[in-house]
Amino acid sequence: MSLSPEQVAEQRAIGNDRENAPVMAPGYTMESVTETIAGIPLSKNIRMGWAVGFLIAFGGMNLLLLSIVWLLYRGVGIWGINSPVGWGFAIINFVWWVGIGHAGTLISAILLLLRQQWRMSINRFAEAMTIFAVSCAGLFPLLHTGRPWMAYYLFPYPSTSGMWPQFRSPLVWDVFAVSTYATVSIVFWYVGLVPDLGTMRDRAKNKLVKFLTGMLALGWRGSARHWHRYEMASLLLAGLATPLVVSVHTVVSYDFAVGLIPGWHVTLFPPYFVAGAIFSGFAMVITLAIPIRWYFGLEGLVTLRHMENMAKVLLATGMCVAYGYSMEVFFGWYSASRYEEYLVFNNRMLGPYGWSYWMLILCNVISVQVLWFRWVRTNMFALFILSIIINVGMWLERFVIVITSLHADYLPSSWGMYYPTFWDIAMFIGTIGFFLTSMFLFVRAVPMISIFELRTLLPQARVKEVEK
Amino acid sequence: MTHHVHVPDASQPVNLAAPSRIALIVGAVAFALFLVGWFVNPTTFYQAYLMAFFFWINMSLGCLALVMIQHLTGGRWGMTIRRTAEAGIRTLPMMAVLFVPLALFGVHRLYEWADPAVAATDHVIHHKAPWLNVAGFQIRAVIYFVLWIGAGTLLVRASRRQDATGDPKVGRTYARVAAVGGILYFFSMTFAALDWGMSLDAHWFSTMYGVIFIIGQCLGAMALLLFTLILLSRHEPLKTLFRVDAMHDLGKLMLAFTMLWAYVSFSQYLIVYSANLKEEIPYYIRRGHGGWEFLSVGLIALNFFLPFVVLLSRTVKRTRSLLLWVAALVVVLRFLDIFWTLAPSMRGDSMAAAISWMDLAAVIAIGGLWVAMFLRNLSSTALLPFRDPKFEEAIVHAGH
Repeated sequence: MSLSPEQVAEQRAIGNDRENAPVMAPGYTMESVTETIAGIPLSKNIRMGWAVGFLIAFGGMNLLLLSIVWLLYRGVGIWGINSPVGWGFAIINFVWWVGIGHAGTLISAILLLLRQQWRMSINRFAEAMTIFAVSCAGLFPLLHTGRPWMAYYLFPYPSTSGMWPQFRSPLVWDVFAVSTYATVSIVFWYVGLVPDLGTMRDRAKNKLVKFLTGMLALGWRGSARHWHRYEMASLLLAGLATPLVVSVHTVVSYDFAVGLIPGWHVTLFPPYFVAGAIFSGFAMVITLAIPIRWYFGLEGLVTLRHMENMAKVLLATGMCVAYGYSMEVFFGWYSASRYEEYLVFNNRMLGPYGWSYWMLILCNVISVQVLWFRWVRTNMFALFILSIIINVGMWLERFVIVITSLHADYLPSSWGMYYPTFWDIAMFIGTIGFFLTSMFLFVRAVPMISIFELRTLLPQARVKEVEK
Repeated sequence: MTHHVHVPDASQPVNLAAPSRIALIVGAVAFALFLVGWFVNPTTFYQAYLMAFFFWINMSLGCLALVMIQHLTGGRWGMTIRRTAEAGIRTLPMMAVLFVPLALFGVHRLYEWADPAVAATDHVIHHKAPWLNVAGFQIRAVIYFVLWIGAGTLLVRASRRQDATGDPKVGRTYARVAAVGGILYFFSMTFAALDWGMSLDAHWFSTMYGVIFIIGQCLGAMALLLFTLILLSRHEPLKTLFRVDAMHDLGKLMLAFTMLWAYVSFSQYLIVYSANLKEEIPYYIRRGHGGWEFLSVGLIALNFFLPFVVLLSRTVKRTRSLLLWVAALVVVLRFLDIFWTLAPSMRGDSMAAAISWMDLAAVIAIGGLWVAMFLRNLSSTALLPFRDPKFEEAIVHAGH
């Protein structure tokens, strides 16, 4: 039994109730939840809006392919990097993308352990976002090596030349941290998909779809034993993924903090990077969730309650990064080190890249304060704009860290400016295209919300206490 | 309303006058003994005082932090610890009074920057003089205590109103105070840790320092509250209402804070160690020689590995008698962390020469007063927020 258009409209209205939105609009049944979610990938119609969006994103992805080909042909000289700024857009974009990935893992692992039920309708696509973001991130250090076909040198293996990576370098730790993170994220996401792939297999009318989903469902039957093992596996994976939320960006922060450059060598970096990662990740989830829930009519499942909770997470993590910026400024002075002081005041605030620092403060600290008002947290247009501002702000934060510190360190005679080239920008836009292309395909190919988890939220699924 | 299961009345306070009196007597005796130390060596006296003060105010502020966290995030665990933690918050005015001797007299004996002759000759201290000066130290301490006591009082008063009227709007007050208060607490505690602890090494600095203190406070308070709740659960109403599931959750949080503490402490070490800068590395060099290295290794083993491994066990987290011991151990070991953080900066290169009987006397002296006050506060209200709108769901029906 599927829902009538009136019922759908009513549930959307309830999900958009700004005063009292529930975690899930009432009136859904086991059947209609499945229908609403699985109906999107199983439908044959290709909607105009989706097609146009996909084509634009696909164009961006082709720009990425073009940039990579040109890069491999000509080498990293096509980028703006040189001495003294050897880490340009590639590292900025790497950190930005890895950070975005964190929200997915936080939602699916930490909120699972904290028994936050509202995570259920956003975890699937947040996890997908994580995987695509980490893929984009991984590209950059790989290509930044200049000879990506030699990148296996980064792994420790007993080669005949007896050469080992420098284990004391955080760049090598990064290889392990990011590859572990990518692996666990993919496994977690896939394991979570298995019951829903079973549902898709059972509902698919197209032979090929039935065959593919049947293969991927790994013989899922939905028996009590399957569910028991499934629950165990989820808890174990959540336990494994939770430290990863912290460890990945901690290791990324070590890339900077273990170095000796003023502005990088800051003991607060690890937790401050992790908070910034979650901040940017939630901003991206909001950027994606607002159009998706509107376009596919999912407001009854991804309600304003979810959006407001995520907005609160934004505010909390935004205050954490604001704390980080304040500490950098205060200790820049308190350290009594002329290099630290010069960096914070003369270079970051008043130097040639000063505009980026003040833009960053505007985006990440000042603009976020509007989230103290419930009106903003429940206004989807305002929240969408703000989430984009934060995405920009978090990119600028990495720009400030990478570029201002490198362009003027200890020795004034070796100072120099950094300017990105066309190919720097093209590659960055290209990864956004790749990311969005993947998201467009994802929402069409698999259930973007976890069907079976949402079913457990239904009143029918609750075991009632027997009245004596 | 009838219950199918027998639910004890949670609204009546529990009389803890007798243990409170014992704590007061122990504290008073230890205080008298500790005061003798002033005549022996006033500098050692104030050093011991600072460490004991830090240990106990960490418990008070940890209670404040945990209450604010649970108001912001919700969750059943908060309901269990809220009233007990509030009793801890209400020790803050007493701690403010106990800080007066440090602010007026101790400051001159503890901090080299307080000596105008040093500030005139040492260019680093001279640079920091706008922050590190006696008047600033005192004014800032007043601000910190006003903020902490202010936020704590607003939260406790909201709870009083809830107990008296059951007003559901109290939830909003809680959230507002916790959101604003949480930010103010984070900043003020960072600077308090700088003023009272980090500035013992006037040349040294680390941006992580405040965060390590804040997480240590949450860990210590969580262990102390668990310890208290398990002891109180020998009798009604907590015998029935402090359920094993709730205890299990609190045990997990204690494990999480243990890991976080290790994470931030290790990160600070790794970053300072690998840079090996002359203005930063002395902090760890000092803690790696002269006997301090044993304390450093002991800290890693006892404050991280031991509770970490033990708390991984589900059985430990669900067995009252076992978890009681782990919580007690974590509480005691918090002092090891304080001692490791502060004593090498105050007492020089040899650990053997740095241990004084006054340290123990001071901890028991301030501790006796703290515990007496804590238990007295605890007896003055119900042990659980029995009129909270979510109380039935979270406490009475939990596990059904």
